[in-house]
Amino acid sequence: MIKVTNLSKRFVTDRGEVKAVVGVTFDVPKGAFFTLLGPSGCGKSTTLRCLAGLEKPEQGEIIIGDTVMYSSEKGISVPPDRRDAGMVFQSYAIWPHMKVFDNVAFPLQVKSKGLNSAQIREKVKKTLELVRMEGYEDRPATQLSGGQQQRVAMARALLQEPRVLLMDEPLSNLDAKLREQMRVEVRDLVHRLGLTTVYVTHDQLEAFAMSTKIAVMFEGRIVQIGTPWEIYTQPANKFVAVADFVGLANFFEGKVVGGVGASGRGTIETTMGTLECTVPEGMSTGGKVLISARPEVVQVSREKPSGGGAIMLGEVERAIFLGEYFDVRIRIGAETVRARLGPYFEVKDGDKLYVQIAGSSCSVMRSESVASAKQ
Amino acid sequence: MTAFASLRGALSTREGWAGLLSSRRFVLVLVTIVVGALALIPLFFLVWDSFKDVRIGNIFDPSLTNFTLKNFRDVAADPRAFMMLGNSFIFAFASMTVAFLFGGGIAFIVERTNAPLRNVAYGLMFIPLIMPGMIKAVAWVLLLSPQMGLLNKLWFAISGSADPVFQAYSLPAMVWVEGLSMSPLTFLMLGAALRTMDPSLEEAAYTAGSGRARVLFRITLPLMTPALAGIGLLQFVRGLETFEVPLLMGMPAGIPVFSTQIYWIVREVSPPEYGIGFIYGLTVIVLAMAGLLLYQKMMGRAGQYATVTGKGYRPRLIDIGRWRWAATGFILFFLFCAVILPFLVLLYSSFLPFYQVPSARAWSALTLQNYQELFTRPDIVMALKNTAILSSIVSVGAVLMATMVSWMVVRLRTKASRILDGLVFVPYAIPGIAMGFAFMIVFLSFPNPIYGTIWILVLCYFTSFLPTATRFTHAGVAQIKAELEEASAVSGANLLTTLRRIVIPLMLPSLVAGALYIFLLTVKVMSAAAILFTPKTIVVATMLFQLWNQGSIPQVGSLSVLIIMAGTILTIVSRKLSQRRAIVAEV
Ligand SMILES: Nc1ncnc2c1ncn2[C@@H]1O[C@H](COP(=O)(O)OP(=O)(O)OP(=O)(O)O)[C@@H](O)[C@H]1O
Ligand SMILES: [Mg+2]
Repeated sequence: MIKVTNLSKRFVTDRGEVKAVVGVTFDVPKGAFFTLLGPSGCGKSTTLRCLAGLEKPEQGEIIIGDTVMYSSEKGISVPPDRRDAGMVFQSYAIWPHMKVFDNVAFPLQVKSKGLNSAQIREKVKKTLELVRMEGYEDRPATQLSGGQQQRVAMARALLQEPRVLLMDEPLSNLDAKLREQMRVEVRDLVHRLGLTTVYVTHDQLEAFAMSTKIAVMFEGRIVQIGTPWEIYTQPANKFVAVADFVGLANFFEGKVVGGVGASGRGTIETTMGTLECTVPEGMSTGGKVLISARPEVVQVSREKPSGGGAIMLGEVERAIFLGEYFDVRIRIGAETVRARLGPYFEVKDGDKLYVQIAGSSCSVMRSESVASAKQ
Repeated sequence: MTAFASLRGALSTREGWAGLLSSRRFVLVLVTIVVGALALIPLFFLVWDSFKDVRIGNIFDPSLTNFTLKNFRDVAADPRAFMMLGNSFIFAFASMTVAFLFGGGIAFIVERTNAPLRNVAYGLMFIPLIMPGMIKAVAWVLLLSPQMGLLNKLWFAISGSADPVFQAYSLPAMVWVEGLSMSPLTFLMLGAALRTMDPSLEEAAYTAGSGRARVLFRITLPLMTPALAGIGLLQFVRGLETFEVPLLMGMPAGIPVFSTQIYWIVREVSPPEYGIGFIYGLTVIVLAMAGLLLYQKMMGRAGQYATVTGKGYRPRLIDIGRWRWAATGFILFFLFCAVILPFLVLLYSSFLPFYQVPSARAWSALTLQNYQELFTRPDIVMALKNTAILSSIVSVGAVLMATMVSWMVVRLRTKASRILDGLVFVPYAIPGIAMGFAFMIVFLSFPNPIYGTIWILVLCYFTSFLPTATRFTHAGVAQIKAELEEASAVSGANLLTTLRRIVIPLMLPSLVAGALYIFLLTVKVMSAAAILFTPKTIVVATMLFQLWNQGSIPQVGSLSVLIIMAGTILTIVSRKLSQRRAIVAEV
């Protein structure tokens, strides 16, 4: 439904040039919920605005449906009002001089689709019902709460029955509780309507909860595209897996020592012991890798466990009780491993514990991809 | 990049003309061409014709030969030229000084002292701005003229002497009236400069043990120097450009200045000496441009010293003790001279069957006939109608055009929009009289149905006031969040629909305030109309002059009272809306 190829956009400011988007390529199938996820300033909004036609890229191609909306090569640039894309802005952009009705009906009023005013009224009513704002037609836009403004902005975007729905951090101005509730509501609504959606957020929980596919962006580039599960369990590089962004992770350096067969599994020697893992394609014996293991897959026990995998003895450096779990840092030689222990484990600083990591719950990245993400 | 390419590009899409109008670049190019044409074509004609031997029957010579320096030689050989130049500079400088005395004095009292009633001064200082220069000049001639002037009469009565003390038709009288007239704006600008000064700079000096006078002379004044110099320069330029006061008070006494001299040789002398007019016109434009550029530079310097103070963070007020009431008296004296006295004279004369000094006989003959004539005398009715048409079209048109310009300058921020930003300010530096003359020459140069109609006045005033209109609209556009417009675009609205449904409604209070202000300005400013008017296109300002020359002083009085009343209402509404603007910006 949406096909973006090699999109680049830079801004020239007083302080110099900013490369906001660099060679971004992705595909969004019909009906998918596609999320651009990344830290502040990584170019998510710019990418979305290029899709809407609000920003003109220097390079690349954007196809929506089967219309070329932008192509640097063919010299095509369709203005925003003819892209048939509904958009929800971070600030909602509710027009303060209009009532709710006019805000929502605006797309139908400006694009005469041969509807009379009674039909428009009916459509607005239906759409307001969809976002659970029925009966608010005559409310002045200035008298709406943040959540209500968000719903009106959604209604306005939905009323056009757009080919694609673009949303730029639509929930970030809501308080935590409402945000959680709206997450589900928005996802169910666009799913029910079968809309193709491109969603922008810097909140990984939001991305995981709502998306069918996620593209992780960093410094203007897409560093990984995958389902939420793939992004979480098989991060393509250290950036995607890195702490504070797509969840926490433990990293170990390692070396493939053998056994890379057709199954894709190989034996890797690490500072934490020897692991059997799925190695990246094209990796052969002797290649350097980085292994990540999420804290929740790190097994901890007081007695030495039996069985394979890497088993090491370590000492609890610091245990923080967070209610749902203990966040524990365990020192093993020169390395520190983070783990999560159930609230009944009753661990304290200085305890000696066995740490076991199963190769099947680790993800393995090439060392060079790590280096490129670090700059 | 060119208009043509974007035209072709837009037309090649299926939507055709609708697509064309929604193309930002096309609209940008179109607006730039219109603004550029209005700003530069008159200027071009002035420059071109300066080097041509222009005379009636041969107004425009497009050939690339026949250039001559004759006009320059004529000016250099004319002894009146240097007298005129001297008069203009003395008049402008002296008027500026008077304006600084009143405006600066009142600004200091209001901003920095504890004089009583100082807080109502801001409201009152707007009132003198309502009165057109022509009306002020008329009123002061009625007060100061040697024989019938009321102040002289008063002097005769008090002293028993028969020698007048005041001479209306003289340079000092001109300076007095023009100085009074420039004071309110001087006050507003100096007041703003005083207010934006960081009070901690002064407080630091106080805590360092400096006395009040020392702080004033060592800290406050030096910090204010760039602003003072800039504002002084601006007022000096305005003094060079002004027309009405020199016309009424200087011309009869043979004291020409730039504006009246241009008027004289273009409209009163037969055959008109266009050649000299071009040189004078260009000279005054160059002086004005140089002055304005220098002004901008100085205000930039002043801006470096200024910090906008937060709420309740007012500079320290100086306790002037016993002088408090004297300070208030000074403000009242100014208002008495600038507003009350002239208004009373005009009001008095408006009820007289024919003009006479107050006496028992005069009081018993009072009549309303002059007000009746405003609506019955055909020439006055026509002047009122023409003024209404001219001012309405100019004010609405200039504000709408300025909205487009501001939108492009503030929103698009491309190279082209920066050019537009520069172009739109060119007419600001062209004095009204030179603008009128330039438009006259342009429309005399080729056959057209516009010359001699109200439309040439419309075009001329529109061009003159477009820069003023953009002051209102620049601020208005900057207050609208870009996302509100982008939401309209993604909802399927093209550029014009977005301007009509989103931008203009959101800016409406600023637009109405701007339109009312320009309406009033068009009624007030006479200079261009004096050059361009014909019997059929007479407007109120030129009508006043005509009535005055006919000796119909009571009718001058009633027409003036009407203008002042209408102006007061417009000003009040405009100011109310300007204040509301802040509220709209918040939502
Ligand atoms: N109009 C602009 N002019 C100049 N630079 C811009 C402009 N818009 C964006 N940028 C720059 O481009 C980069 C990407 O900005 P963008 O708004 O796409 O980030 P983002 O991923 O949406 O961030 P956030 O999560 O903070 O919204 C930033 O460095 C930003 O400063
Ligand atoms: Mg953003």
